Amino acid sequence: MTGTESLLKLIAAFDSAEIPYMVVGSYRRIFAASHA
Amino acid sequence: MTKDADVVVNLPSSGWSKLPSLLPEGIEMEDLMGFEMVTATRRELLRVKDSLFQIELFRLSEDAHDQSRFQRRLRQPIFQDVDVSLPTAEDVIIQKLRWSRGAKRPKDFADAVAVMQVQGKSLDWPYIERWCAEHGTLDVLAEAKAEASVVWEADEPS
Repeated sequence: MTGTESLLKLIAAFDSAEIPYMVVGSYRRIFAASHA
Repeated sequence: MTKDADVVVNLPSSGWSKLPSLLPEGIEMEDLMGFEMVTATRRELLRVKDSLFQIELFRLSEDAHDQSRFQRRLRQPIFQDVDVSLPTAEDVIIQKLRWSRGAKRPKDFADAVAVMQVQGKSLDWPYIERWCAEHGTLDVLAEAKAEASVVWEADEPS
């Protein structure tokens, strides 16, 4: 499991458990760049 | 590729004890919690099985800007059918300038300038200025804006 895969699995678990979160740090940059 | 990820989570104290049971297979929580040194925020470390990759979970603090930044977070589509919650560009700038002053980390200042260069004209500047005034960072904001504006001017149609 790559880093991105594991992070996305964790986020999916947070979403299904309705746990509020936000990604910060280097992955914020990576995800923001992919959005842009 | 980066070896770790940082995630801010808002959970009541009772929720943290249940968190290990909610984690997906292959991701485990370390027994010892720690502190993030710049903001003194409590954090938990998650290890990914058979990997050096780790995920740091930071507890949402009571800090006024931390609370505001969390409330303003946006869900952004990053891949098809995958949305992720991210802080807004304004809040990234405010936080980076605060850290650049507090922890004297030049990289944070450069990061703030980089976000301004990309998103400068669409930013909510009154919101940024209000928090920078609160944090005593209006001078570094002015400095960062001056650096970023070189790019905005270059982008102006001649």
